Amino acid sequence: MTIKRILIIDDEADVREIAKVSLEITRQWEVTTAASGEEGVKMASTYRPDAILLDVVMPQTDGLATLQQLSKNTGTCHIPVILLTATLRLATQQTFVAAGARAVLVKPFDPGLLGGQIEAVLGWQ
Amino acid sequence: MKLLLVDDDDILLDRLTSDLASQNYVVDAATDGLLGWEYAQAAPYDLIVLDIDLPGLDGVSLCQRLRQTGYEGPILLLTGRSSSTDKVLGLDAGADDYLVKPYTLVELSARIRALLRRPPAVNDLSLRWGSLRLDPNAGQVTVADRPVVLSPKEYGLLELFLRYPDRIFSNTVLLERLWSADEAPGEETIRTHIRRLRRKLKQAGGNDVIENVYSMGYRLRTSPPEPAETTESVPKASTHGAPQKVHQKAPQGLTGGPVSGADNAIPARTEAPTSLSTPPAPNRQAAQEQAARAAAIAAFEQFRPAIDDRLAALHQAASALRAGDLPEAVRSTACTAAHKLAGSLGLFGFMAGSHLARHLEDWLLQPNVAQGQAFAALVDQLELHLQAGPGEAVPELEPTAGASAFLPPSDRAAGDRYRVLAVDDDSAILAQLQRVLPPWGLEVVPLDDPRQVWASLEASPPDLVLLDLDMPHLSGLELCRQLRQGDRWQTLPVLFLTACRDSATVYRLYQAGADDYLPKPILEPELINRLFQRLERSRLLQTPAGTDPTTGLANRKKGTIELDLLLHLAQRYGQPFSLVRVEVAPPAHSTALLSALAKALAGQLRGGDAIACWSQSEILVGVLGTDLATTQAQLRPALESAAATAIPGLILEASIAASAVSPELYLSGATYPEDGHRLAELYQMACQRRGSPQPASPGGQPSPS
Repeated sequence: MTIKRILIIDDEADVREIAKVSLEITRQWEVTTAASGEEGVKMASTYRPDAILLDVVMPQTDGLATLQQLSKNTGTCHIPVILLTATLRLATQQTFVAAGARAVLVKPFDPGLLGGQIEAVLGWQ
Repeated sequence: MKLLLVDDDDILLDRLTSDLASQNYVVDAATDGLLGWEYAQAAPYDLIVLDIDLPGLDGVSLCQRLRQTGYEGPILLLTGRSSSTDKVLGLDAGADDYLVKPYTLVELSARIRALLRRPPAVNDLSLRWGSLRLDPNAGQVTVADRPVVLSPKEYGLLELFLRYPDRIFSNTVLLERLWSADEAPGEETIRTHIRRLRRKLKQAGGNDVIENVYSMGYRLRTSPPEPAETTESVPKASTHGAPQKVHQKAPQGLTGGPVSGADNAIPARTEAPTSLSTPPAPNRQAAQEQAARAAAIAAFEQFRPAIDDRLAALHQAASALRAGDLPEAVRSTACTAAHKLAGSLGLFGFMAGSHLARHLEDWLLQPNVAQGQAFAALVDQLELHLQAGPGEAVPELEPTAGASAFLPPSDRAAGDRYRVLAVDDDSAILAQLQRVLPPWGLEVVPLDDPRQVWASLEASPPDLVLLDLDMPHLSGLELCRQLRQGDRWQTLPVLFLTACRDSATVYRLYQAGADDYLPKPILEPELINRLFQRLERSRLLQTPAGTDPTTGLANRKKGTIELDLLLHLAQRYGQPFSLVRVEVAPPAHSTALLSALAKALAGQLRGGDAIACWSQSEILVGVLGTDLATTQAQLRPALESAAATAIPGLILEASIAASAVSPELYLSGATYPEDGHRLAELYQMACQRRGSPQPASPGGQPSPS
C-alpha cells in the first residue's frame, strides 16, 4: 500500500492533532497540518497532498472560501477535499458538496475509523 | 440474527435448522468443516455452532482458524465427549461455550440466546495479540483465557506496547512513561522488568510479545504468532460409531484461508519464527484503531485549557441568563463555544458530551430566556461529565430542570396524545420511560418480550416504537427489519435505544430501517426532543393526503390510483404502457438523492404521465403510449446528471460507516402488454430486472431494461 499524504486545515488545534495522530497510527500516512485557510492554500501548492481535510468554520478565510481558492489554482484543483463540519443539518451538508467538496465528514469523528472513511470516500481501498 | 451450523449429522442438522428458523434466526447449514469454513468466509454470521467431530476440517481446527482470520462473533462447540481436555481444547481454540451431546433443543437455543446477548466484540476495549488479551477496564491480562498475574510496572509496559504496536520505545521514553521523576531508576531496571514480563507470559503459554530493536529499544512484535497448540495429541472418539476420524491439517489452497506453514506449528519455545511475518489483518487493524482512540483520549489533558475556555463561555451565558438577560455578544460567543465543543468532545471519547453541547448550541441559536435555568443545569451537567472522564455516563440531571429545558411544541391541542410502544427487556428502562413520558402527553405501552410486538401492534397501534437493540429471543434489528418488510408498518417511526454507538452498529440500525437512535443511558431532554421531532415529522407525513413530503411527488397510495388509471387506459385503447422504476440504495442515504431525482424526473414528464414516490428509496414513473426503451432513453440523461451532481460522496454522521457513502442508482422497468397486465406484475418484473447499479456519471452504459 502506498503511503498517502494528507493535509489537514483546521483552526482548532485539538481536531488537527487528533486527526493527524489517528491517520498516522491507523494508516501510517504522512500528515501535515495548517491552522488557517491562507496557510492551507500555500501548503497545498507546495506539499501537493493526496487529499485535504478542511474545516468549514474558521476565522478570516473559512472552509468554503479556502475550497474556492484551492479549486482556482491549477496546482491544487485536482486534490480531493473533504470538508469537516460539526453541523448535522443535511441541507447545509449538501451545499458543501455542491460547492465542490468530495465529501462531508461530521465532527466528532471516530479516531479509530477516520482513515477507513477517507479511503472509502476517495476509493483508495 | 444469522447463524451458521456445521454438523455432519444430517438429521440433527435438519431439526436444528427448522427449530432455529422458527425462532426467527436465519440459518445456514454445512455438513463438513471445509464447507463450514467456506460459508464463514462468504457471509458474516452473528454466531457459529460447530460440531467437534467434522469431516474435512474438525471443529477445533475450524474454530481456531475462524479466530485467526478475525471472526469475532460467538462460537458454540457441540461435543460428544465430556472429557475436560476436549472442552479446554475447544475453549483454547477460541470457542465461547460448548454443549455436550446428548442435549435438548431447548438447551441449545438457550445457550445460543445467552451467547448472542453478550455485548458484541466491537465494544470490547481489550487489546489483543494472538492468544494474549489485556483488558484495560479490569486491569487484567490473560493468555488463552488464563489469567496472568503481573506487577503494575509489567502491566504498564505490556499495555504500552499493545497500544502502540508500531512504536519503538527507547529506555528513556519508557522511563518517562512508566516511572515517576523521583523514582528515577536506571536502565537496568527496565531490562529486569521486561525480562520478568517475558518470563511470565512464556510461563502462561504465550509467545514472546516484545522485540528488542538493536540500539533503539523495544517494540511489539510485528505479528502475533498463531496459536501454537495443535489438536493432534488428543485422540478423537466418534459419537456415531464411525471409524475414528483422522485429524485434518488445514489443507493448502483453501479459499481465503491463511496458507502458511504455521498450521503445523510446533509449540514455540523460542523466538517467533520469521515465517509468521504476515499478520492476520483484522487483529492488527483493530489494534491500530484502538491505539488511535487511546492516543486521542491521552491527548485530552493537552487540550484541556482550550476546552475549559469554551466551557467558561457557556458558564458566562448561563450566569447572564440567571441574571435575566442574555447580551448578544455573550450569546454568540457561547454559541461558537458550544459548536466547537460539539465537534471536538467526541474525539476524546466524550460522545455524550458532544450530544450535550449540540443541545446547548441548538438552544443558543434560538434562546428562550424563560428557560435559562434549565440551560444552566445542562452546562453544569456537561462540566460534571468532563470531570468524570471519557467514556463515562453523563451524571443524571435533576428531572424537573432537564425536562423543562426543551418544551414540546405548545400548539398541540390538549388531549392529543401520542402512543409510544417501548420494547426493552430491561425493566428499569421501561420504568424510566413510564415515569418520564406520560407528563408530556405520551402514553407508554411497555413490552419486555419482543415476541409480543405483533400482538401489541394490532391491539393498540402506536405512533412510534422505541426498540432496544439487544434483547433475548428477537433482536431489535431483526424486529425492525420485519416491521419494514410489510406495508402496514413501513412508515411507523422506529427509534433505537442502544449503548453501542460504534459506526458498524449505527450503520446496521439504519440499514434495518431505523429512523433514529438514542444513546443509553437515556438523557431525558434528548429523549423528549427526539421523540417529538420524530412524531411531528410523521404527523406531517400523514397530513397532506396523497403527497410524499420528502419528494413532493404523489405517495404510494395516490400513485397506485394514477398508475392504475394509465394502465386501464392503455388496455382500453390498445396502447403500450411503460413503468419505469428508479431505486436508490442504501435507503439510509437516499432522501436527498431521491428528492433530486424526483425533481429531475418530474421535469421530463408530460401532463398525462404518472410519477409516484413508491417507498423511501423508490420512484415509479408511468408513461402511456411509449415503449420502455424510448421512455428510459428519455429519462436517463436527466437522471444521470441529477445523480452525478446531487451527492458524489456524503457522510451523514461520522458514526455511519463509510461503506454507506456512495449511494447507488438502479434503473429498470417493464411494459404492458409484454411483461404483464396488472400493475403488480409490471412492478414485480421491474424489480426483478433491477440488476447492477447504474453508473452515476454520464457516459456509462446502463442496461436497457
